[in-house]
Amino acid sequence: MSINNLLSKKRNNIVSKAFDLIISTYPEQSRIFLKTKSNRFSNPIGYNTNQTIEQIIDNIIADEELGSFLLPLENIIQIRAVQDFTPSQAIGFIFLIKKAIYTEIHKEANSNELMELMSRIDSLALIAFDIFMKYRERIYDIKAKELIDRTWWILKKWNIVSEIDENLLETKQKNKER
Amino acid sequence: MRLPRPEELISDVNLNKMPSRRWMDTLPVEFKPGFYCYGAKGKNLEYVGFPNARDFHVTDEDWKLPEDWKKIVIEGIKQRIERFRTFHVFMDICVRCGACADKCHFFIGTADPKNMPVLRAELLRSVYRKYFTSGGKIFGKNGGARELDLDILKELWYYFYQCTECRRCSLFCPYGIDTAEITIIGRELLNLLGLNTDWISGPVANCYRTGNHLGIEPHTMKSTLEFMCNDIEDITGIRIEPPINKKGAEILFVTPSGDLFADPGIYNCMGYMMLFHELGLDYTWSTFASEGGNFGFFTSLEMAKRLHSKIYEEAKRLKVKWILGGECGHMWRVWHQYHDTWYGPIDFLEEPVSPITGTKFEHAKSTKIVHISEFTADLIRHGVLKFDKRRNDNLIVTFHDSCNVSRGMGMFEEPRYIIRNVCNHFYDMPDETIREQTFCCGSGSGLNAGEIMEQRMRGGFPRANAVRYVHEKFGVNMLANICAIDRAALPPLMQYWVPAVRVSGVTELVANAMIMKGEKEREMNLRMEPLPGKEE
Repeated sequence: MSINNLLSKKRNNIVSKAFDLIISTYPEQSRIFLKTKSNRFSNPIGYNTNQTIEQIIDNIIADEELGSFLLPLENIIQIRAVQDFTPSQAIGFIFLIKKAIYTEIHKEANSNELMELMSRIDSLALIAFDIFMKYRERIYDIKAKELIDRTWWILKKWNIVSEIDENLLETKQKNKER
Repeated sequence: MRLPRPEELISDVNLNKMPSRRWMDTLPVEFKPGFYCYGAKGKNLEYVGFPNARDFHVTDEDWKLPEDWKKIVIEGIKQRIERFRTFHVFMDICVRCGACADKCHFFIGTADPKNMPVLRAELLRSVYRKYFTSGGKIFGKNGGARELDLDILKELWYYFYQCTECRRCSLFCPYGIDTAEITIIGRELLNLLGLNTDWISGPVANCYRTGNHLGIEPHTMKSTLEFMCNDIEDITGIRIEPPINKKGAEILFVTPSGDLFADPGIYNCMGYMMLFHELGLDYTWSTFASEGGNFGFFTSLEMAKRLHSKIYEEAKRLKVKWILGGECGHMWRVWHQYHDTWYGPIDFLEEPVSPITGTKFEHAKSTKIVHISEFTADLIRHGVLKFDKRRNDNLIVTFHDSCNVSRGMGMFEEPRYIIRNVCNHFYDMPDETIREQTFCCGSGSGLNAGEIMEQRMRGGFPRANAVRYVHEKFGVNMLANICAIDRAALPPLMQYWVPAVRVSGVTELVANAMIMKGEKEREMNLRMEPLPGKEE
């Protein structure tokens, strides 16, 4: 049996195991709640985490390209990037998915194929780091922008700062054209 | 020593059915950046006579507490038990059924068990048990009681400033326990030791000094309104002269000061003035009652009353008949739930009657204050205003129910009615995330500080998650609301979670669609962006 067929066969077990492992990165007392993954509005962490795992596993099975992994990865990393995690904890869930896959299929899989798959999953961890940084940088941007939104209008109105007037630019441009 | 496996490094894979540590054994709390607000500045505490005024740094080991701090807290609990029957009952009757546990946006977004409302309240309840119940005194920890110490005090501070007093949890409590009131009392107790935050104590001191949280002085407020009128003139061709401190006006208009300063509140403020001008309303602004919001409410009831009194006194001084209130959140909670206890019923104002439609606002018989959405919805119902809804055609709108206005005073339909009348595209978010079940913006009750941006993002995640759903399903690109904290808090929340969605007040949408007498053909909306069909 090819490794993709094997993954297909064990798909639900892998998803469920990976989900349990990832939820175990959260505090003990909260895990029971987080595992009620069916309602996307009352338990968005559980729902999005489960969705992400399913999509990642399905994409692996279907030999999808790297680009198709980005959206599911973003969904989960966007959440973990603002939670009580160190950067390694925030993106390390990739290794938990990897562990779930390995545990489920290593006995039946061809070892070369398995090594190859494990190595490919590692690349998701690299991409995950890029995504994590993207969202951390977004936080810093928002912090800076919030200050501007709260003050810029009034600074302009009181002539404490002055921006280049777009109308003036247009007039200049027209004068040049003449 | 071997290297750990990744799963050993990042997770606790011991999937025990029972937690291995009791919640009481998880001290001390760790203050990490992004998780806590900066401590209060001494000068702001001193200005309003709060106790133990000194600069207070959260991460310092020494919080510079008075020597008898423990006695002060326990005495404080005793006084409040005697004074507030609700608090006493709430301390005793919780059976820890857990109905509230998964209803808090902070718990849903952080997964921190101490953000479950039941457990957050238990932090204080355990101290109450130790000093005020026989069971707690005898059985100690086994009876769910804890002796107060510095670690516990820090824990109380940490978690009572991770609650926005939104009251979503109380909706689900079979006993009707209002956990927000426990937070309110918890913060009062902390305040006895000068343990406030910079973001709350600064506005309180400002408000006491200038009448508003931002410290805007009368001449600045006047100029700011005039700046807005210049923009209105550019957009509509109509010159508005806002009446300020006008004695004998029929109506005093009070709105949060965020609308005077910050984007996008300023567009809402322009909208108020355009609406009143179009109606020819006999109203006045006040440079003294220049703040609808009340950050005192996040410190102590006495301070809330003290700051609130300016509106009451100003209505008396200006001899108005009644008060019209702008789009604000906790301002309405204070008016609706506390004002009458403090002052009511007001005996010097008249029962509000709309001078335009003649509608009697009977529900405001006692407080004499009408919400701008009630006022506007009534105008629309009577066909007083004319709209060109197409001016809002670039907007696909959803509505965020602000906790204090929806759960706090029960207003659900008026803002939706208004939006449907001024916009062609409106879609509600899923039922379990709106109206009385609305999810908080994550930044209410003084938690709108820049230093806790991460906390605000995860606290606001359940709200943003529902916005994302309607954005993906219906293409929603505008999140309307009737709260100044929302207008400040939701833009960053959207920028993080759903960047394509912007934020606006409801009156901004009204003013954009409203056809004013004598206006020129409008090319721009209040944000000076081209109207649909007027793009170059």
